[in-house]
Amino acid sequence: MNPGLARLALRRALAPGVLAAWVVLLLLLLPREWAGSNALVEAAGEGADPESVGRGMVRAGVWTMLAIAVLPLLVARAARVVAVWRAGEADWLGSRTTGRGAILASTWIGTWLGGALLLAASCGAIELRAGAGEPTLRRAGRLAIPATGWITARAPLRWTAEDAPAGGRARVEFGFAGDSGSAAEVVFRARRGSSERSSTARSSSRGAVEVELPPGSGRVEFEIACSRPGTRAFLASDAAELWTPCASDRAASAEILLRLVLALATWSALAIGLGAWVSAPTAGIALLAAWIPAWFGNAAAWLPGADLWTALEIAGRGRVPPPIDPRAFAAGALLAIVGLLLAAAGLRRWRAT
Amino acid sequence: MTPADGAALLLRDVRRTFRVGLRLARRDVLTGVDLELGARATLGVAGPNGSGKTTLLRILAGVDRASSGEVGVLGGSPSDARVRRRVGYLPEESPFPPELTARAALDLLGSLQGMDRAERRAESARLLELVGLRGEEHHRLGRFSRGMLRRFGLAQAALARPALLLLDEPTAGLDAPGFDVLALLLAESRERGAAVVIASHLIGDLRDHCQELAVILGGKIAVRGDPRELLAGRTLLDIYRERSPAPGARP
Repeated sequence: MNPGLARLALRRALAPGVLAAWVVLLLLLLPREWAGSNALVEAAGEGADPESVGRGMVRAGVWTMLAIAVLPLLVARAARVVAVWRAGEADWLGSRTTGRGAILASTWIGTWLGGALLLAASCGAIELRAGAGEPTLRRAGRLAIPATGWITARAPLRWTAEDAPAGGRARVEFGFAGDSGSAAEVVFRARRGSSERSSTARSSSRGAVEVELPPGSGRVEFEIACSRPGTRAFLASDAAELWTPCASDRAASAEILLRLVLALATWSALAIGLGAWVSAPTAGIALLAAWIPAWFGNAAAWLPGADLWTALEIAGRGRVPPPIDPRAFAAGALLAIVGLLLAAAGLRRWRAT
Repeated sequence: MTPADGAALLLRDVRRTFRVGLRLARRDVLTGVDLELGARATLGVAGPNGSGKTTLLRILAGVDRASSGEVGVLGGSPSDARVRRRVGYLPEESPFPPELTARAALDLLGSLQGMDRAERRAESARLLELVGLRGEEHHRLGRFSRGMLRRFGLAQAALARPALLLLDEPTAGLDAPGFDVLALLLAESRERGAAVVIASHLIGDLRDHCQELAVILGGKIAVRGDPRELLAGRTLLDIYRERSPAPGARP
């Protein structure tokens, strides 16, 4: 590890062009009105606090645009690292005593830190724009629901969870059969011992209903039923979302920042590695192509950045995404090592072959 | 392979082939270089453009690898970091980081060369003074003129007090004060007992600074001798014409 080289890479990651693009982007994004009236009305209909949802939409909107615009820019610049070396800098890098491994690791760390600083500054700007933090809920996991068919007033769906934290909430998404009328209702109940909480949701086609978990500890019994005869509903998922109290909705930005920083660490190492074998644009496009299935396919939640869109969607509801899957850190470290090894192999000769 | 006692360089049948055109075609740049250079000697390497002078120096500096053959530098291989620690290299261009100041760039290059902080500070200050850039040490290299960059290049090549100094076209783009700087650095290197290799196509560089001259033609050393004798009444172009392999001849 060479600190001087890491500082040079950091400086290059924060090149004036990158900083200018970032500032312009923030100036365009931050003043924009992100909370659409339809979304706020819909949120209020589901019992959510419109102000909290409004702040969440600012976070989700600006972070989404930054993820689309700034992250690829940082990764594309990482993919150019080896090309710049081969265009001339190899003459002073390759003739020194410091080995390829140390040169690559230092450059990667500097490149990553530069991007991470930019993202951290973005986080600060977004939170300034979003306003003061308020208590909210954080997604804490899932409660499995047994297989079910149609839910009616006479045939409610019941299941139990061995434990669920007091003060938290359970949320399910549902849909109504086409013959259920223009506006049907479902009632969601949670019972623990003698305490019971319930919630009602009305919709014409599909929606979500959320119930507060009763105080105490131990087993919780859930029941969901249609409130009127002749109405049929179905659940859109085989699990209920579990939400726990969170002191501030600012944690949503912190969770998104962490995901982006982890993804950047992985992608920049892979970009440096691929850039040692193919052109920088090809390396960037190859990385993007590799991640699209992970983003949209929900196939590998342990890949760094794979649950980014889910986290953004949760933040848009004024809530806080769950902590990163710990496997993502291990996968990120492993992929970063693969990227650096790829680069080291490509740099067996500093000059083109 | 180990160079003979006291030899700075010992090369046997060194070849370098580049893959071109989707890697399907080959271009033979060095086709069998044999070379021996004693310690304290100063060798000039001449040759037409594209003859392989720069490639040869890059191989000696450890930046590039020979496709085949044996390369011995200061008793070891240029791929060995301990050998590279004792080699100073001035590249043909000046590809040093333009965003760094001269002082910061020398500090970075010294750290990559394994020099400790105190040594880097002392040598950087001394060399910046020597090459006349002490007053510019806090200016970014990107704002330097070509001549200043060449002087900076000479300073970085001499930074670790190398036992072998490799200078690729050292006077190309050099400004007027730079010629004195080059002479000073070469004198200092000789005093220290270092061997020097200068690749150039300028008669002045070769005649003034070198004890020996090797001319690369067709990827091999075609002529070697005392530069004053070889260049007596002749230009380099005359030598190239006389010694060039016949068209169609196989290397």
